[in-house]
Amino acid sequence: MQTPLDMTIQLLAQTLAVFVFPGILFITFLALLWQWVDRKAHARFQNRFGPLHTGWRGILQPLMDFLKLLGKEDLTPKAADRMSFAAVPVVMLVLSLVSAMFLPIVDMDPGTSGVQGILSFEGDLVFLLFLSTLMAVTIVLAGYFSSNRYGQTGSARTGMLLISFEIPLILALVTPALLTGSLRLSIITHELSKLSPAYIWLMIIPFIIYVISLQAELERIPFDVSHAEVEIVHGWQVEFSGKKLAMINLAEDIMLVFGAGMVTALFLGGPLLLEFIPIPLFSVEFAGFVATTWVGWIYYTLVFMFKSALVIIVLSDMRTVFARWRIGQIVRTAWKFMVPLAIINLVLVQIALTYIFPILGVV
Amino acid sequence: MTSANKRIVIPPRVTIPIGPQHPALKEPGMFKLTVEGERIVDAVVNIGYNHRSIEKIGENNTHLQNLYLASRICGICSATHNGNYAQAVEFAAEAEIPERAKFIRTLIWELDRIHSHILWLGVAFHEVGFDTAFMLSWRDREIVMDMLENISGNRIHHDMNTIGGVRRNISDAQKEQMLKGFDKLEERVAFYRDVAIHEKTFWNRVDGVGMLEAPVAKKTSAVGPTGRGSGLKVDVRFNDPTQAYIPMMDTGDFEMILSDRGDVAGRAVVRVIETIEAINMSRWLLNNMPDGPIRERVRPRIQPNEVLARHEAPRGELIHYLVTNGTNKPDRWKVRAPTYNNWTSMAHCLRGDYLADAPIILAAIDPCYSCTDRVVIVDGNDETMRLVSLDNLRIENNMWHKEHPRRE
Amino acid sequence: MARLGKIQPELMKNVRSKQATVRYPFVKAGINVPEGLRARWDYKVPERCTGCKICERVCPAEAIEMTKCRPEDFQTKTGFRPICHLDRCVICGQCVESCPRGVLTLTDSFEMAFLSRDDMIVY
Repeated sequence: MQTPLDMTIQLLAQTLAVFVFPGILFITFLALLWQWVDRKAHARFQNRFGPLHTGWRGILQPLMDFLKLLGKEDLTPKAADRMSFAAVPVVMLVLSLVSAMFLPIVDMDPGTSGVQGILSFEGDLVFLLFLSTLMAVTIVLAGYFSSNRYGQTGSARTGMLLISFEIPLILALVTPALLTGSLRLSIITHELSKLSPAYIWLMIIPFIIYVISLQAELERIPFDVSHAEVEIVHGWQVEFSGKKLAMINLAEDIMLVFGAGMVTALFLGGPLLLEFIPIPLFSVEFAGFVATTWVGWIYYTLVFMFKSALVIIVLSDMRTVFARWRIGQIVRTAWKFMVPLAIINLVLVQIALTYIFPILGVV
Repeated sequence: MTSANKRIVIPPRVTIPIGPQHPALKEPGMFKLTVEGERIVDAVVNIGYNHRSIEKIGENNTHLQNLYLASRICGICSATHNGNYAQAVEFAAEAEIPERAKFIRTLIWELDRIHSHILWLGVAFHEVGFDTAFMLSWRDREIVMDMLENISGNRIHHDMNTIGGVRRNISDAQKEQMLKGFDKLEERVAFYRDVAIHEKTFWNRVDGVGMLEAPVAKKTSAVGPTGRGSGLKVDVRFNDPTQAYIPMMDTGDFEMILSDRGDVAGRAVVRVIETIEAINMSRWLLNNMPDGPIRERVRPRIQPNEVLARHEAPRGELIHYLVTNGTNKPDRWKVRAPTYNNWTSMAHCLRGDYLADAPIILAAIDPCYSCTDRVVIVDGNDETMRLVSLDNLRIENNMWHKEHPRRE
Repeated sequence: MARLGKIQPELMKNVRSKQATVRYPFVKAGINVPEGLRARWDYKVPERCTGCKICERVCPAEAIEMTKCRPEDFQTKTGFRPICHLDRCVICGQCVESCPRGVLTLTDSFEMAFLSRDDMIVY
């Protein structure tokens, strides 16, 4: 039975965690930082500078864009439904923040093994997929609430795009869950770090499928069709301006943080780096040291950020190399190429687990 | 339980305006696309928004002042209008200009063609979303712009020509710099020809899109790379050469670039290969330029005459028709820009394709509405339109906004 | 022939090389101004001007205006001297060419933006 003082301190600590670190403020900071990394990488590939003058090498540029948008005039078209139109950015922001709170950045619950995020429960992988589908539905409705021809076209395209690419996304996530036997994000990260290196061969194809599907879910080039600037002038975002547009942009950036975080947690080993070295100094003593002391907080955060930045650079490279596909070609790619590949991958994983690995002696 | 006959669902027809102001268009033009789902069913093409009454202003200027007015009809193809007008006045005065002036004038025309085609390539990349190649191709276009600035003193609006020759000479140092620049430019354009346009996501967007079959192209009298991309042999440099094209065609080293694909990809390939051919032509002109004077004195009063001067602009065949009457001002001056021939084929190309292809089809003829708009036709008896003067328009506008205050 | 990611080697080359954009106006280096650049109009040799008004007649944009000579100017034979309205000037150089005494010139000072129209008259 805890005394009221203990309970108050615990409540304060949890509020601090949710709002400041690793909660809302930290996620927003990461979102703006990754937008900067993305813009700098995109510019470097194209042989130009990128943001340069606001802050050190332009690092404050995404923050300035956000603040500028907050100060602009906020118009609502007359034919639009006022309540729903105003609700869409709020819903998107809330969904993306809640999704990002599941990421295992630092260990919030030292009692259970593995690195837990702020929110973590059994089966939360399924819950995260549900949240991303809700996000897709919100985006489709956003275009319809604008009651604008361009928004309508954008919504129709977005619906087709997001629904087509949810299937390969889900199928690619089955492999880590299968290999570790759990649907809890933190347990998957923890168990994956204990498997032998032969399992890396099984994770290559799901990694590629997941990264491509992530690019589609985030609506970046080559899957940019729902807000193609030259055809339908920003698609479903066309009527949003001012504060609403600022919140939508922030929600999209937080989805980028979430996507990169999922790749890091599920495929790249989460916030653990030095523990993979097989020397007992690192894998046992160092691991114990960081798991129990305050040094762990800084170490886990830095490793997580470093791995997420690598994923962001890969996504930026994809954005730079390709042109924009038509919606018909995107749907054809998804159904004729990605889904069969994902299903074949599942079959291969099963064959490998049942037949090949026992022969090779892999545990 | 279910009925025997299947219900076919046809999506409703929506009219999407790619209206006078749109991020897809570089200049204003009205395209009303009737769309069923994603497929374009009908297209209405309308231009005339950029009319600046150039021919009327030209009647009050002297021939010398008209040279600069002609150069500013368009920013991209400015050297062609300038040179073609000078050519027209010299034909009317029946004056022969020195050989070196002809070579320099042709050199500026070819450099203009190079810069215009690379600009088009960048814009086409941007319309399909391939922003990287847009940045890279416009970076390489800077090589040509630096060359032009070196010779003429300005990146666009070169104003090199005058009645009776050219105004500036090319020194040997400039010639060496230009030859070095051409080497670098040729390897960059070869990169675009071999690698960049064969990127699969880009090639999927332009392959088979906007088909313009050869009979339709002939019927709508397409000129320039639009016609040559469908297999028509139209090129004024080869069919009717003037200035320094005459000795150039006599060597027989150069040939017309044709493609029988008929779609947007065909026109893109024609333009890229034409750029390389233009680089070769410029090198030939630089190396074989004769020495001599660069201008000849032509009296300002031109004899009464009626001439037609043709020239191959980057977009096609450009015609300046000039009537002089013995004074130093033209009596009638008509400019027929090549886009005027090409834009009627746009409505044909748009039907049957997807909405996502509309920007690239509109950009594929390389439209230059500033060159084209000569006349706006307004039907006074049309019931669907009202004609309002500018002052009344302001008053009406203010009254409407007072009655419909902005809601927060 | 058409493959995915064909320009990737070019992009990797771009990462290692120097950027192609310049940092004007914060850093004025890197822009190469050629020596024959046509920019701001200048009344270079006032002592040779006679005030014949040829420049005013040939200007296609009606940017040159002949005004009475101010006390601090060189007094020409007719008492008039040209001034140029930069907001109308199209920098064609016809006045430079037509002047019979070579009084005018186009310099290479290309920063010609000002905040008020009165600043745009070049004396």
